[in-house]
Amino acid sequence: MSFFEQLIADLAGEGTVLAEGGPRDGLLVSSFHGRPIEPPMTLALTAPQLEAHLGASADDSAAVFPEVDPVTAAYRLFLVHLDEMIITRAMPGSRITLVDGGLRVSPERPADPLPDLDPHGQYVWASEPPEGRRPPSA
Amino acid sequence: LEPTVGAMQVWGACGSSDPAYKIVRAFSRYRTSGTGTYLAGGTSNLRCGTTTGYGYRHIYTNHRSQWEQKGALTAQNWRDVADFGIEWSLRDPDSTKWRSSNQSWAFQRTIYLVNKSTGQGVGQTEVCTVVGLSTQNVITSYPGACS
Repeated sequence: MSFFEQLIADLAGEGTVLAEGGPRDGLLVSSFHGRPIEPPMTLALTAPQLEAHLGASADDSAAVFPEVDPVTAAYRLFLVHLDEMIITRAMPGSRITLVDGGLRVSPERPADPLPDLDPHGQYVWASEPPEGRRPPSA
Repeated sequence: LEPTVGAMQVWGACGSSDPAYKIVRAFSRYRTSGTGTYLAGGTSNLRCGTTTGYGYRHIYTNHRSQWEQKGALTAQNWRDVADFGIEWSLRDPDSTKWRSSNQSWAFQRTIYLVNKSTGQGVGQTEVCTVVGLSTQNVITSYPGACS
């Protein structure tokens, strides 16, 4: 099985559906961890592009997953990067591409709206909700 | 456990000539278990890493702007908020998720934005920190849910 085929299979097992046959080169991402994406995102990636990316990033990746060969380590790291890009930057209809060894998203999701804060107030990040204990851990 | 933010830890510098393995900050990590897998409690190191790969340089390049948005709310440097988020997500996560496809653990934790004068909560955000199983190093961390 190629890494491209493995990518599709691994993500399918997690509820992220990549399908070939989009209007342009690449894969249509129609769901992410079981949540539908409409319109789908496009992951502009072919099997040769993924192989080339994994080869180029193998040396850097070996330090993260030293228990496997460097190309497999690069594949594991690619899974992390794809997830974090979809979570932090992508939105329905976005196109995700490989540029200069990293993933880029266009268009990017707008930044989260800021809460309506008192401009003269002082705020702090806290680990517990001020109203009491947070819900029990899952 | 401390209920609110403690003293921020100073992160070690990552200069252009510093090696990827240099430790920026060592975080305490809670034990966790998943489908047939167990990760003992211990230490997860944030290392300098690489821009396109992992660690500080990866977070700096790919998630600094997201941490800056959170830091702007509390007049903090992005590193201070990232340090707080990583610390609590690893030390006392709300949830953890094992990913067998890449042998990694994702630690998720909610942190809360509080008005210091009134004590009222005015917002919150999820924090996700991903750790490799074998090295237990921090691969990435960002404000947002893990999946």
